[in-house]
Amino acid sequence: MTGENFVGDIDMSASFTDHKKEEEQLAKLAAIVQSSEDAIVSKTLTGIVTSWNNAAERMFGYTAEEMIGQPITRIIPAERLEEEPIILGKIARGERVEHFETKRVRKDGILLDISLTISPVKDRSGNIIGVSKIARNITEQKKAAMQIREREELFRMAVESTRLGSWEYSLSTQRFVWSEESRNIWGLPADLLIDRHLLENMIHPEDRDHLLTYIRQALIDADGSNYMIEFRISRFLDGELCWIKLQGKCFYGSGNYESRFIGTMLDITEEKQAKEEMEKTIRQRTQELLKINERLEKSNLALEQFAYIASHDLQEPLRKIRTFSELIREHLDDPQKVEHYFSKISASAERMSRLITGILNYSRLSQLDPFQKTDLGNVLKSVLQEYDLLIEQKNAVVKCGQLPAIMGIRSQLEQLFRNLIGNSLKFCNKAPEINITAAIATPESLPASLQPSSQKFTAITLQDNGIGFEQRYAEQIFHIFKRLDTGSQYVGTGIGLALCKKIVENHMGAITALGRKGEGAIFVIYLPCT
Amino acid sequence: MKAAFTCLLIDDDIDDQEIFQLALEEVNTPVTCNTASRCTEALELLSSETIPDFIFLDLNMPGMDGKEFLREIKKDEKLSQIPVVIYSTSSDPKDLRITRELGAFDYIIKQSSIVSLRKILERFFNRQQINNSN
Repeated sequence: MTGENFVGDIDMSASFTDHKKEEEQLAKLAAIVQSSEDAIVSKTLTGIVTSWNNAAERMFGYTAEEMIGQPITRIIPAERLEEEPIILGKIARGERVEHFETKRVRKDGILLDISLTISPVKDRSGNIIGVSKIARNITEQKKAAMQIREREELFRMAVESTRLGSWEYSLSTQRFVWSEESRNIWGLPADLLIDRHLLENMIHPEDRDHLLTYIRQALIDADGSNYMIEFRISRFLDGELCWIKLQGKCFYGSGNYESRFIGTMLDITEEKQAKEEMEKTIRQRTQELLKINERLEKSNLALEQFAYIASHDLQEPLRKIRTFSELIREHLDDPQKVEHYFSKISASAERMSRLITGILNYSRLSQLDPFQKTDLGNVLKSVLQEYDLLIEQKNAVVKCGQLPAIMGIRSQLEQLFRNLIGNSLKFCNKAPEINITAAIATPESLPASLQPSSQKFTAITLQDNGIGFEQRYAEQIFHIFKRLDTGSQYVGTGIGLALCKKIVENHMGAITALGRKGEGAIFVIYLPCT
Repeated sequence: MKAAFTCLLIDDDIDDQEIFQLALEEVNTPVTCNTASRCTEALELLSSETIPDFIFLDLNMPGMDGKEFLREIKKDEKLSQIPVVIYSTSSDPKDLRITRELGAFDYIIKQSSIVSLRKILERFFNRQQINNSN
């Protein structure tokens, strides 16, 4: 390729000096053209190549000799041949074509991505006499761009597969760029313009200040740290509450790079709800465990007391038996005394037997039978039948209201009524009057041990006109072996009411007593309604 | 000549009252013993009769129990001067500690042998004799 080839389209009608100067200038220009890294080609308005620089030779594989005089279409792929008349048409109209990205084919058949800048070549009079083309091989650039696009796509797919939304906020323009998933999370339509005001209004009022302070701080710190915060929003489309985990990092740009806050977000509503649910369950279980523990502690304490009191009270008749036996030995020659001490031994043995039976009954209550629907009216009826004779002998009047059915252990409930009615009949110095009624207990009337409770309770009241007791002993009377000052004619083991208490507690209820000495007693049994 | 003592036994158990009296009969020191089956009855006796030298007090009694009785008499200037000896089946150290704190003078555990009880009472009244002579 020569300078003549390049300037072949230029008019050469100037003076010699001018001509020489021009020659020098053209040689310079030709040298620039030849040393360019871009392919520089000129052609006629009909598309015949008139010059072909070194870079063009390297780029397309054709030498200048092979191309000059040949149509440029030689390097245009068949499917792009229609580009040429369009380009030539534009040039003929005096227009330029800049950075036109297209494909050209090398001599060896390899397709190249090139960027073309095409300009008209004019003579001194301004007539368009040809075309200059500067071609840049952008194959590598295209490949790199394609790779970036592929990676971006891969990243987007990876992010979306994790349900992560990505977001970007420009600090200079205050513009948001949100991924589709981010919009889905916030329930924002694809065409809605996102601005700070809109987002701030969607944040839950309780989390708003905290979040905004956090973001402001992140912008001030700008130490390249990752920021992470969780907050609630009310979704744009449906107003649903949604928990969001937002991660972000602030990049402070310089020069052409703008400062940006970028990050990801994740909808953690289900996770939060599951966590809350789990915490609720844990709290409930802890409460249940605490209650069970409390009951166990009570039960242990009761067992300890029971063991101590049982052994203590059982020793009492035993001690007397040994003492009176000793006295018999000392007074063997005095039949009257011997007889007296024998009767004492017999009474002590009798008492011991009663105590052992009582203790057995009490300890049997620990073995719980399954709960069954039990009609308390029926239970009471059968207990009253047992007392028929005593009721008649004592001229007692027993009035019963309607009693409900509850879930319980029939044998224990019978024992409960047997003991209470038995006491009312026994501890009475006139014709006994017993009144039994039932009603639903109001929450505030429940004993402290049952409060607070969402469970409804039936309150069964048993009122008598017996010898009663002093109110200050109202709790003690339920302690095992605790006997009240009932006078010598009333003998008891001190187990009956302790049994009643244990039965009611086995049924998740409570029993209270109200009394006044000489004026009767009122027992209230609280049992869970079915 | 040994000084005679008077005492009041408060015990709801009639058998234990009898055993206590029988044991006292064998003690070298002459002791006159009055009895009460209830603490309330004892308080009435104490307010109307001569103050005894000692009170022997059971703990586990219906109605007002021994500990309540101790608290009650400690409120009264005159009655609080009477030495109260606990006479109980309980060997629970807690009962020993509490009654000492309430001002009990001594603590005798009810014995399962009248011979042992006699010995204990013998020693107790002998000690009181010595105290008196000093």
